Amino acid sequence: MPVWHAATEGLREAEELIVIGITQEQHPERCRLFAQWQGFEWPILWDPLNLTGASAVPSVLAVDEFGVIRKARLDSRRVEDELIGEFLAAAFEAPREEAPGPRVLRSMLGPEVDSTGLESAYARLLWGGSSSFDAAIGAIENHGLDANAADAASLFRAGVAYRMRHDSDRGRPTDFQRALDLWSAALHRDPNQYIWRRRIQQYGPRLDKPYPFYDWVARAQADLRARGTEPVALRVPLTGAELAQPSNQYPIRQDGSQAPDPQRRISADGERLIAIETAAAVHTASAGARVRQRASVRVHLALHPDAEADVHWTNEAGPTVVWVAVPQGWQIERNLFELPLPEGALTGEVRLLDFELSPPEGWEGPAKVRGYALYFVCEGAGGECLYRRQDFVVPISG
Amino acid sequence: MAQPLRHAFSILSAITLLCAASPARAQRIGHEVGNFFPDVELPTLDGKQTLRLSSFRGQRLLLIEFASW
Repeated sequence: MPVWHAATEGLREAEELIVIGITQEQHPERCRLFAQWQGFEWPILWDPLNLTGASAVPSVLAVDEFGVIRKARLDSRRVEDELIGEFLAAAFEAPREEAPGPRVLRSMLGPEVDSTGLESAYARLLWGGSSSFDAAIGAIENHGLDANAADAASLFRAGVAYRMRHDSDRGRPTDFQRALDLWSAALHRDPNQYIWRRRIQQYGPRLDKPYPFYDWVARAQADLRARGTEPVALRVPLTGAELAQPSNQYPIRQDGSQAPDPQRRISADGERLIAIETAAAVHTASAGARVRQRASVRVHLALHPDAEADVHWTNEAGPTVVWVAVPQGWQIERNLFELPLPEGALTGEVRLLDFELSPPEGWEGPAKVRGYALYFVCEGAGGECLYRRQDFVVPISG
Repeated sequence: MAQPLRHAFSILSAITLLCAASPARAQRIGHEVGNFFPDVELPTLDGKQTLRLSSFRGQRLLLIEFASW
């Protein structure tokens, strides 16, 4: 897109052309950071719910003064002839009919609007803030999300809603997996929808990645700081999956580590001082491929300290470790993971881990991956500090 | 039987040509040339503004649908 920014600069300054960006990303701050880094000066609209219905990006369109598309798939190397010579120089007739207006409006947040409709649920997601996510998801669920009955776009948008709540202060442990399941159901209904496919692949395994999604972020942040500009802060931390490079190799076991607590000697975290959230993003090849490819899976774990009980990690005692035991015939790069320690003796962050698995040839699911986490935590700043174990199970659908 | 068929075909061809020669007609909403681009109202990335595409009627737009990845 930087090439379009440069190519249209003169036209924008001469007010011959309005340039508007629309991004379909789940996390708006990431695109904001990109725009800041690239110096984009045109407005960019955030369309996480895919309300425009775009099925792939990038797509550059020339739209006339009546709202009619006159050029599609514009080529930035042909600005002079396609955009200036053929589009801006042409005279277009008004269409015989009016274009229908938007179905989702900010004004739907008002109390006089029917709050049970899908459109007002989408409006709540876009403008209502996290306090309205529960109501939005309730309305979406009430409209029915049976994978066989609901239309594909509704399934996708419901997945977006769940992932939005997952990233908010209202998140629930099942939200991310529900989002992945809904996106997968939508994609199976419409395998040619690449916006939806990318939403899964963003969190999915390397074997399924067309490209690394956010590996540019560190470079952008460094460049902006070197220019004396504070980069846009990312509200949602990047996961390993979102930084990973594509690969055509299945996970190859790299370590010979031993289980750290095979005898269950560490006391279980019966009070759930830490809540462990799991999700599994499965290779998208089963949606649309005539011959099913061998699957691979990216598993996501999030370890949340109980904020109400003022639980903190105590970092001086040692790192959090996670042991993963895969079912017979499955492959995993490593079984033992040590999570990096942040600075500070006591911290309360959510700890994230994601890793890849590949099932045996012919596996069609479901399966369960089991593991446990060992961690040092304190109840309250001056409270008791404990070393605890918590087992987890990750269900994986085929 | 051949004569009426040929006659019907000629009428159909004429209608097709007439439609093709009317570039002003935009009957569908979509992403192809001749469609209305969907009129959407959306927040900007920082959430501080809301823009509706139809508020730009009367001006020519370049719409760039993209992702940062």
